[in-house]
Amino acid sequence: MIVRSYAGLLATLGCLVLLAFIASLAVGPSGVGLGELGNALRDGGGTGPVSLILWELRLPRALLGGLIGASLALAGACLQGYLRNPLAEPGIIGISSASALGAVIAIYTGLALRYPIALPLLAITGSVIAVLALQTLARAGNALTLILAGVAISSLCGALTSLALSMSPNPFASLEIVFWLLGSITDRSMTQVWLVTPFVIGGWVLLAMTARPLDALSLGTETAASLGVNMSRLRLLVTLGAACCVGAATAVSGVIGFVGLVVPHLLRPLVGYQPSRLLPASALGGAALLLGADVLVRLIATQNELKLGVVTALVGVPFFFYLVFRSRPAYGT
Amino acid sequence: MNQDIALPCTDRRERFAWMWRLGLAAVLLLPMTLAAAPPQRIVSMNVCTDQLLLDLVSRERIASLSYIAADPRTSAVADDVQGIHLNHGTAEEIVSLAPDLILTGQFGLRPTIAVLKRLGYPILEIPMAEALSDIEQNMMTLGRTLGVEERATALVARFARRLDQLSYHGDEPRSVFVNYDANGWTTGQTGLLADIVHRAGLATPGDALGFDGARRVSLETLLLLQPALIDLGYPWDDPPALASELRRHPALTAVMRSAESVEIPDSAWLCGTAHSLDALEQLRNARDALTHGKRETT
Repeated sequence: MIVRSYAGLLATLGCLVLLAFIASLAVGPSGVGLGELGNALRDGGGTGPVSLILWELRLPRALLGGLIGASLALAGACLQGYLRNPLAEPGIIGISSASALGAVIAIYTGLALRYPIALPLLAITGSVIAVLALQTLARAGNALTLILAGVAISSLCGALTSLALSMSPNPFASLEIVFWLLGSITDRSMTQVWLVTPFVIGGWVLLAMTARPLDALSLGTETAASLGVNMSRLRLLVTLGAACCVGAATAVSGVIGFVGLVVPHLLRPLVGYQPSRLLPASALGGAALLLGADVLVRLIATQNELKLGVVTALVGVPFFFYLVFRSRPAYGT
Repeated sequence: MNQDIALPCTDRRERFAWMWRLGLAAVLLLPMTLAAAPPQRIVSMNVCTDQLLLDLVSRERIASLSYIAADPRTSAVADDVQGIHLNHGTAEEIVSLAPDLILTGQFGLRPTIAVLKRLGYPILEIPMAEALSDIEQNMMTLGRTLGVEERATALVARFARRLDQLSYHGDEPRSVFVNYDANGWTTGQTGLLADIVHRAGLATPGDALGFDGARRVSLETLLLLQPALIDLGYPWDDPPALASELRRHPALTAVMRSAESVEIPDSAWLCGTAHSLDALEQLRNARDALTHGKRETT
């Protein structure tokens, strides 16, 4: 039954992404709606304010929302499968925070101003270091060790980010701590979309290659090895794949938590608990969730626009509690 | 008995009324006592009072100014403060200067001011100028307290003459001027900045969009507003921050292409002082150039 409706599930999720994408184009602080945007589109490219709003402000925001959401959820699904830990998520285990630290160093030292490519590269370097550190620590202990190590990395990187920003002589830097810790995709531009898309897509390709080995791994490490899974190759793929897409995404959005936790968990029962099927579904689900959250921050009337991480945490934390509560007996042993 | 006449009141409420009256008398008497012996060791803790003070008294009477007065990004008198002691607004620092008058603004440093008040130092708070006319009032208040009323009167007269010369008196439609500061903060319908913009014959984003007080305006809204004149403020890009990165956003570049640009230094905007008229002069010139350009094209 589940097998037969898998295509249906992907189609439904695809429709959700499309709807959320259109909603993301339709909503904004200026109140310009779909009708006016449609007219601007019919009149051709144009340089009028409405077409600028569409092409230079809302389109990059919607594209980034989709790319970042898909990256976080896909990385979450892969990490959970590879580390065989239900709580593995880029935000919780510190990959996002490490990327943000890399991005902060690139931007506030002026390096990214001279060499824009330094921004995604340093963010990815941060996330590679975090994943390698985690794998080293996780090998030594159980599921709890991994989460504790992740929390430590996350706190350390958050603190170092705040420290770096507080030390900057630019008076606005310290105000931007909240952006890096809670994430936002307000007023991003196509420049940033072009800058991170190659890395994000590259990461997706690497993670897609883990689908079959993850299926085998779900039967246990030894069974996987006997089925011919090359564990060190799998490790390399997950490390580089997750680091690339999460690193590049975080470089332009700051840390956005819980997307990689909530989406794979919601979808896992719907794909029959099969990792290879979970990956595409999670990517679509993540894109839809983040686009939806980004529409929400624009609709909730606050003096300063709400940060994305606030919305995702409000959704994700109760879910996190539920998972912790449910898996408690396993940690006790 | 002594105790009976010490407090000539029977209930608590009356006692408070007495204390209140005594306090009021003390406040009213303070300027008189100051006038009797003009202060000679004046300490200013606010970048705006720093500038008002420098215009009024000789340097020998100034014991210290705020360190911000020496920063050319925020102070119009940065070149004139060399050799004057600069304070960072801590109570310990101020006390060690043994001031006979402390000048502060209305906002900021509240805990420090509370301590200094408790220690009995004479403190004069100069309210923030909400309009150009408030500047004249602040100059006079300060002049009277410092015992240089004549100099203050002369400065105010000069200020008023220059203000009248620079003000736009016509009734042509007003183009929108946007000061788009870091993170998109801009001006509403009232306040000192709005007054300067209005006197220059221009309108603020607050006038066009109907809001009061400073507010963040999104890039989207700015695109629809299509301002005629724009000031992006100090770039703050060395070293950079996200706030300064926004200046390079293609949407903002597009706005800048269709608008005239003007660069008024923050030091002229920030405080209500004689230098506020420098901002007015620059804006008025920009406005005249704008209408001149329009006439030429039509």
